[in-house]
Amino acid sequence: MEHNDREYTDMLNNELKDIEPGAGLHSKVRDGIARNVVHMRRRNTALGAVVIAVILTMGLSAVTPVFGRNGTLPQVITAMAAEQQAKKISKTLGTAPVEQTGTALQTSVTTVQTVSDSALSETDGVLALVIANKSGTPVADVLKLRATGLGWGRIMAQLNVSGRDIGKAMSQVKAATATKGKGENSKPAVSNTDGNKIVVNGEITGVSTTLITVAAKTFVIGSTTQLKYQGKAITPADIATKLAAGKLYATVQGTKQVDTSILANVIIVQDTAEQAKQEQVNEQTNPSNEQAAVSNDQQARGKVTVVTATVLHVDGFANDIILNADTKVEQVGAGSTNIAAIKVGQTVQVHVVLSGVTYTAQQVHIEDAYVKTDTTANEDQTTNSAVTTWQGTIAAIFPDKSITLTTEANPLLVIRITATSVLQDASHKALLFATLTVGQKVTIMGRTLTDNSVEVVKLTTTTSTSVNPGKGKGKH
Amino acid sequence: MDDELRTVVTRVHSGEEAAFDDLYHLTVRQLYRTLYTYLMTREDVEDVVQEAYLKLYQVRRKLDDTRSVPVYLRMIAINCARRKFRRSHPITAPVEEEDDVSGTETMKGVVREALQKLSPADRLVMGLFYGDQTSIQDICRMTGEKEGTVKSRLSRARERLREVIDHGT
Repeated sequence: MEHNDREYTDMLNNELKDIEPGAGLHSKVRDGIARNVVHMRRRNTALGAVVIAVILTMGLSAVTPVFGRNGTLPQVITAMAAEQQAKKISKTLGTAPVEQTGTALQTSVTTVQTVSDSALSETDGVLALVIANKSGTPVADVLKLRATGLGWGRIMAQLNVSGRDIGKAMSQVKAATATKGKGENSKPAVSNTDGNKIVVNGEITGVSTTLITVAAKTFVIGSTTQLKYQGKAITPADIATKLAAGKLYATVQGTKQVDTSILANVIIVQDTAEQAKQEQVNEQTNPSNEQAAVSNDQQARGKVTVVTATVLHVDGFANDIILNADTKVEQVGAGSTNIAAIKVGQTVQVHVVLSGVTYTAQQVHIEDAYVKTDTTANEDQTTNSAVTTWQGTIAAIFPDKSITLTTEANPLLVIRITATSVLQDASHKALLFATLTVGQKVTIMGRTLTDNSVEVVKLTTTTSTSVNPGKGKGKH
Repeated sequence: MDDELRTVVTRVHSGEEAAFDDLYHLTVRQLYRTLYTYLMTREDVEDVVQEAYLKLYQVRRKLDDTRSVPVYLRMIAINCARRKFRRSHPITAPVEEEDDVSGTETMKGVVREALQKLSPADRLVMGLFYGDQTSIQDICRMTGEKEGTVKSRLSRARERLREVIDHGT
């Protein structure tokens, strides 16, 4: 230390020499410590009590259904995880997740239909199918359990389905749908005609909202025309957008009109070029189904001569076609339906896949419009009168809750909505009368009154309305 | 002192309650002065001393490096003092009443006045270096400042102190 430093040291020491801690400081420090010790002891006691309470609650909730119908804590957690997975798979599958899940799990069409017809959300529907599949329980039983208000976790526990089972099933669905998605890119390679029917296969060279030109053939796009792309609905605008980006192909099945125009019934849009014979347009009057020589994917069209739950025979197609749970069935006017809807005598177009020597139907399109006439005892227990189904387009809506409908058979059918009428959309979600609009396509189930008007039992809009995907019902 | 401190820290570490009182008596005087150069009021110093010993008590079973205990204690105390200082935001610390006006006491008054004109941080470094004979390295550890900063503070404090004592400004 230099001389100057010593000066400063002395100066400071001199200044601070009287600065000493007071006599009472030690006892103050001690008091502070004692208070802190007491405080810490109390805090630790309180924390201990909380920890014990939490452990006891967790323990109790693990064995007792403290969450009521949702079950025990592990069951609630399992349900949440399962719902999360179902939600994810629903999102991945996009449209008709229940149907796709059913196909992937090889469940029967009836099972899928049962779930679709239930009031469950898409997520819950997927979960119901998976649980039924994994537990080997009829889906109706699962739905019954759910209807009693039980949470999914409790249902799973009751049916001995673990969270791991759900995970495996979801992976299976995902894998199956991914494989199927690839298959759908393959092309049909047959063109044929059947009287006024015509099937054209080729490149799309033009499209507008009302017309589409495929393989130099122009078809009218009407309100009944079904447009499909990779199994999903597509609009002419979407086709135009895709066409602007590159070449696009389509198989079009149409019907010649009186004015010589051809109304497209079904347009299946595809991404890749046809391999052979795609430019052929056969407009001969004698129908003949041709099988593609170069592709495993083929189209067969003709009248159904034999149909069972597993086999379909189409006039003009030499081989038996296998029907299975993966076979999608669609019918004009009914949309997605099931194998039971295929009847002898109907004209069908079948997308067939040849594997070895087996021809399996991937998709059956029933061209005969869906018209159902039945007596539905369940829905008409009081009067037992016939409940008939009509399909048509809303022509006008009146404030007195009556509607005029244009159907094929009747250009002006008056229908009446009553207090007991059920209004729903294609997803079976309830609708308000106020949401119905002119031009909307609807399916009506109802009874004909003496004045020839129809009292509606159930009205279903067949054009899609906004659907809130799979939110669940707050139950786990 | 070092041996005594080592023994006491060992006893504190082993959980002997009375040993903490011995540790207090061995370290409180130096700590008190250090804090006084920073805070300049006995009331504040006593508050900080209590807080610092409480914190030391809470970690008493972890004290094992005897030599670092006084440094560690002052580090805790300086942090407590800084917090207290920030909370109260004093513009200038109050000057305590002077009773005696004899020659030496006049000098004391001038030194105290000069100290009060320094910033608290400069004053702390000055007190640690000249009052407690703490090394620059230990001051850096206690204050968390770099060596260059500590040296600058010392230089500035010395200059300011000399200016005030020599010229009374």
